Amino acid sequence: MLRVGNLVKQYINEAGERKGGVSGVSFDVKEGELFTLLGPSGCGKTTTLRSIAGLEHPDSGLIQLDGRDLFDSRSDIQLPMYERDIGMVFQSYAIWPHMSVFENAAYPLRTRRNGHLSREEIESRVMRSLEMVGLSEYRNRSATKLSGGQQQRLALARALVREPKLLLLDEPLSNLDALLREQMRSEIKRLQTEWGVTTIYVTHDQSEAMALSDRVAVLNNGMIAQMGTPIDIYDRPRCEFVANFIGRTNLLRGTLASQVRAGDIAAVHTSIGAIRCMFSSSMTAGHQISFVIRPENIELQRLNGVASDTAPNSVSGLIQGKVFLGEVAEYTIGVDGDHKLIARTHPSIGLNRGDRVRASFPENKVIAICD
Amino acid sequence: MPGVLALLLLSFIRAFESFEVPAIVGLAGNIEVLSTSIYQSSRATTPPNFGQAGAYSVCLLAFLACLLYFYGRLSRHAHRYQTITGKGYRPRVIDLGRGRYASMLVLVAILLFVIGLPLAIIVFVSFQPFFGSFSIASLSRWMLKNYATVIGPGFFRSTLVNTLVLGTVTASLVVPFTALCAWLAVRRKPAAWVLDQLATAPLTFPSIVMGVAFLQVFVNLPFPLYGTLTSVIVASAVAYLPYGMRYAYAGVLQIHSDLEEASTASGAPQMQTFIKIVLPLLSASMISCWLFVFLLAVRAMSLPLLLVGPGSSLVAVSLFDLWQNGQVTELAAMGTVWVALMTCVSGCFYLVARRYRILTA
Repeated sequence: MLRVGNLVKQYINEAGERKGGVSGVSFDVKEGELFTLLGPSGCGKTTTLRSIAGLEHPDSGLIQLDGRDLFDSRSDIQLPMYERDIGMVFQSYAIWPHMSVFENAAYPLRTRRNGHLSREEIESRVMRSLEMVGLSEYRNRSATKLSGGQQQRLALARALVREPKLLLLDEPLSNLDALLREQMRSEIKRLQTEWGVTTIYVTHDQSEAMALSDRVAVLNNGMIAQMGTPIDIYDRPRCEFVANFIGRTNLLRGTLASQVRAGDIAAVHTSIGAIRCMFSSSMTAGHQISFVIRPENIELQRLNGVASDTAPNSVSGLIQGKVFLGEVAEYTIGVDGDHKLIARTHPSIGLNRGDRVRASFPENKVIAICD
Repeated sequence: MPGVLALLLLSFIRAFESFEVPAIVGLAGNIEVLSTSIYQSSRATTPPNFGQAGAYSVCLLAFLACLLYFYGRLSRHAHRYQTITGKGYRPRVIDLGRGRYASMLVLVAILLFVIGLPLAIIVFVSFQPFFGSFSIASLSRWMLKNYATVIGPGFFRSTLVNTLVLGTVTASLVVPFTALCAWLAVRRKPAAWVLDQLATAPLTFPSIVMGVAFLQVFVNLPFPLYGTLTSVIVASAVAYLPYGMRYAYAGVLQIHSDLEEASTASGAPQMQTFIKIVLPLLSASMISCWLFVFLLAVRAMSLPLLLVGPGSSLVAVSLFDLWQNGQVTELAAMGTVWVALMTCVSGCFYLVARRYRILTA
């Protein structure tokens, strides 16, 4: 459906340093898919989105939508944005304050290229999209009198009213408060599924990306660090950046004891003892590697008296901090002096600061990073 | 400190290029400055010595260019000293306590003295048969003859109409043109900075020099434009482009670029975006810009002074002529009518602006 090939767009600041932009991003988005570009600010996700939209002129690369070239640096094709058949929702909503709700949503149908539509046609299509987002009763209201969430809905209705081939969402939820954000998140997912429109979603919020996406591309420094389904990226991060960026994580380093092949479970020697972890690719013995343990995969057990037998993949430590988060409690555990582990458990476990605990983690949940 | 210095230089420049005051006060005592010499050599002598006027103009312009260069250098780093930033600026209300009555009194007194007193004298004189000082006897000589002359058909009425036409047409030309230029410049379209520079350039010309320049152009044109109202309109439109430009520039800066990009994303080409999105959002600054240019154009004297002809007399120029002819009472009547008219225009605009919530006080 959408193909982005080796897209390059670099920004040079006044001091002549490279700042932001993308340096060679490639991905394919399938029909009806919700594809997310996720990353910290300055990683190039917005540049990629704006290049697809036609708001930026990339330095080189290829962008194809439905077999049509939108941009191709080799044959010097740059289709202007208004001919790209793309709907877009901006971070600031960009609702036109001098128009009513209806006029805002009708604007895309009244552009020159759609000039042949009849009044009835426009009326029915606008009302259909306003109904989809639950704004039909506000049709005559001035757009400035809408709340933040309503403006967001209107922006969505406006982007979808032309039934574009591709919908681009640029951090659409970042200006909403927490409660509204969750509502709108499910709303967007619902609308996207109902209209079946291929969507690219840009965000820096990993929980949004996890909740919404069919597939996610994690960007760092203008490159795609990892691409896959949300579960794939969460459970099997391929580099330290992705492991750290997606969710809370414990990142440890050690030396590989023996040679491994993909799918093996093998021991890694660390300063807190030997820990067995999962390998997704082959590696020779003696390699310095890092591995991740998600906080929710650590099981805590109170230790009374002296530490008894040492089970495999477990360490003993002292609880140094506790944060109650509602549905979970997060513990910081000091292990062997300087090392700290973060663990999340159900709050009913009732551990407190100063308690000695044993932290254990199943070996198939300890993931070696093979980059 | 640079702020004060820049202000000092600016006032110096403004005083240096000013024409009206030296012309009215100075000419009577044969005190000539550059700007009045330009006028004298091209109007008051027969035959007009345009060459001499041109030479004076170049001198004035060269000197001002030097001053403006220094002014530019002084104010270039002005942003370092700025005290009002966009974020969280709230004017603070200072409670003056009992002092507020005193300060109110002072303010009212200043207003009365600066505006009220001269205006009162003008109004008083306009009802008199001849110019004299205020006395009990003069009250018995009240008459409306001056107003009859001004409002009745003839020279004065056509002057009023001409001036209104000048203001309206000039403002209506400048506003849409600068809106387009400013938009192109702010959005950094290719080569738009040339437009910006061109539209700002007239600011450096003293209006009397501008008058001489346009005079030369119109005199040498193959078709008869010299002395017509059209020629004054063309000159005024060029002269007030910079003001329109500043208004429109500030206006465009306030429009978030997302609003325009959303239009492009909706399938609208650039020009449609400009007409359907940018212009309506600019309407507030365009209305105030229109009024500003209108008022500038109708009260200007030194610019049209050299350009007007018998069929294109203007209020400000006529007032100057009346003064030179010693017809002070007609001058006063005309001035009173004019001030009243302009107050109405400003009032109307204020109402319109408030109606559409353009002014947010």
